[in-house]
Amino acid sequence: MSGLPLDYETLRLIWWALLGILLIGFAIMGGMDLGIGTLLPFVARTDEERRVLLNLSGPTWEGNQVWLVLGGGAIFAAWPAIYAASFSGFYLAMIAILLALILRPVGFKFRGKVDDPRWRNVWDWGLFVGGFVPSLVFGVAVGNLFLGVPFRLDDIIERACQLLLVVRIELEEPQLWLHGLSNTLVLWRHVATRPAPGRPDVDHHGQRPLMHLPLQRLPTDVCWPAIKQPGAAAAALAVDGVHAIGQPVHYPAGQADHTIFAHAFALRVAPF
Amino acid sequence: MGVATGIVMEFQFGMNWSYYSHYVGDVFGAPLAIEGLMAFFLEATFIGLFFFGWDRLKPVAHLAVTWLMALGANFSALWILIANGWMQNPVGAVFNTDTMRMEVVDFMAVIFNPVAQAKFVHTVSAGYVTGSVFVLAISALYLLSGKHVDLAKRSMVVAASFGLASALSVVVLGDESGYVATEHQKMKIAAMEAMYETEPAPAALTLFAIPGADGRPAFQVQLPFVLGLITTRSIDRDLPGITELTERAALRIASGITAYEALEAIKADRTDTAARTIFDEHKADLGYALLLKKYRSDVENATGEEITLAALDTVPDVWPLFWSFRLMVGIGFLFIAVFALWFWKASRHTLDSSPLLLRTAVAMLPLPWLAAEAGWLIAEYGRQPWAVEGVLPTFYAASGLSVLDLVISLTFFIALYSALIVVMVFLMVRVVRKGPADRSVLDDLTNPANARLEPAE
Repeated sequence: MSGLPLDYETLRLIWWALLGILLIGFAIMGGMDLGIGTLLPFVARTDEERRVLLNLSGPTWEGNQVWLVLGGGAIFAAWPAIYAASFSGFYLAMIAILLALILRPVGFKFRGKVDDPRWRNVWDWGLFVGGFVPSLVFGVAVGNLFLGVPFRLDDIIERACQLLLVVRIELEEPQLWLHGLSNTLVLWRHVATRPAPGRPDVDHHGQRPLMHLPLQRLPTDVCWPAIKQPGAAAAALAVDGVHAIGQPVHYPAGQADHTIFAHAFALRVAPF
Repeated sequence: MGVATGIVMEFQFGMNWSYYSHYVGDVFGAPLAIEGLMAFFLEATFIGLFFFGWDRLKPVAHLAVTWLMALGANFSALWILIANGWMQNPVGAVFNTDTMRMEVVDFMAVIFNPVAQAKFVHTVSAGYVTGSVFVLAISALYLLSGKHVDLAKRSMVVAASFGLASALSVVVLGDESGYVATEHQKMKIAAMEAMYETEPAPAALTLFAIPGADGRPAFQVQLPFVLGLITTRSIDRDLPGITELTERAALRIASGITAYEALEAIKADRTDTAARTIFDEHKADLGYALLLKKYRSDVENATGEEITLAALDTVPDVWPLFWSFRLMVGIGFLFIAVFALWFWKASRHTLDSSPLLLRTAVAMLPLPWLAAEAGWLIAEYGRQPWAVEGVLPTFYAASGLSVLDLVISLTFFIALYSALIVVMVFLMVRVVRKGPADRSVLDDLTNPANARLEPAE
């Protein structure tokens, strides 16, 4: 892209900021939609209550999800190496996210088409899976970034088939699940504190089972890191991208276990 | 459904094709990201307003929303086909010896790639045809059963006229697609035509053929001159056959090995200008050397036998392509005839005169999907063994996943998508049975108090 008035360093900074904004945008905007799906079968019992809850995100959830779609596109366009390594390395986790996300549009679209309680209940549980699984896995994935993911780059042109093989995510680490759960809890709280616009008669504050969960009193040291996760993830990814693009080729084959994410994170996370 | 499948496709490049994503991501990622910025935001934002804004927006505003949503959908098709067009005809990018991957040098060339532009108009008009056939078939069904007659007749007039225009453009623009493929993907054309030996100009078009024991056509019915006219738009240019193209591929593989050796030298010593000169001469064939990776990792020591095998690998499966192409073109011409007939009947006000014709119109319902799938089979299967034509072989583009990973993901996707298509068809049949909403339902919906309680859509 010759002829542009911007140099490589400036462009990199712009994309770094853009990716951060996109992921934070998704955590805030799409996060509420995921939370609504997760809470749907529990806080809303009757069909009318569920419809009110769904109408909170009905008109906007597709727009909100585009933040995620675009976040993926931005990583692909700006840091192909990161996109390639992390998406294939977290393969089964990504599959779980995708399968769950597929249930969301169909849940929203199909639910109201047939007036039958069993039919609607099936799609409500579909929406639950579509809300719960992605927020859990996003949390686990970001938790992984905090701890560092063992990572190996082979010499690119010689061993392309094994290039960017990333070691499996180690889900048995209990802290990681904690990250996932706290992520989910934050999204729940986000929904629970949101009144239903124009429907004071179905206001669920103080009436729904939600209040029996200690969500409102979650210690900030659990919630706050979770809120900050997207930004931290963006920082980790971006620095990483710089690292990988700056010197992409000569990772000697076999010299394994470059904990590249942890390395990048250590650089950036100290001010947090 | 588009929302569900779109995100899967976007993530899949990184998940299943990680080397591809790294090697050509600089080129391929950009149109995909622009698609997200331009098309998805437009489409996803306005689809909510479109469905929920009927009673809250002024009519003009709602019309604007509808147009913006449609514009978003068309932009989406444009950018994804620019990305796909680059895989068929990789223009505007070169191999960078410092980063060891393909990088953009001319973004305008990527955007105005003739293959991408031909594909875009062909694909979008095929979408219009699909819509028209759907409306025509359902309206014919209503006329047969004597329900919603007024609406059905009005719909048929629109479907027949719009469908005729779209069916004509889909064939004309498909012809353009074939013409540009002749320029850039000669092997695909030869395989589509089961044309093993180079035809003297102007080449004959094979209407029908039966494969013999050796896989070559044993018996065929041909129309003289036609293929040469379609593909080269001349009467004096040869159309190379599969045998000749395989020989050319062997030469390019040999040249690719030279490029590969030079690249190794550059990697060992970045200041080696002699190696750089050699590499620049042969870099267009680097992808052909990668075909040898299937047989050995030290490509520079490949034997003559291995080069021959790799050259044979450049031939896609001939017969699936041959028949898919005939199926697609046959259905395309059938649509022109059918829409012309209904257009004529609509102007004579005799839409419901023949139950037999109405039944034929209903039976046509699955054909546009069949034709579209056949078309994509030609485009993608016909490009094999390449992920990016002449640049990156498919087997070399994949992620290092285990068989178990792929079994798990495929099982879940097949199960979920199959279940969803069953539900989708069930719901569509229900909606068609129910017919357009009567007045009382509309009143109910436009009452704000009820509208708010209406679940998504």
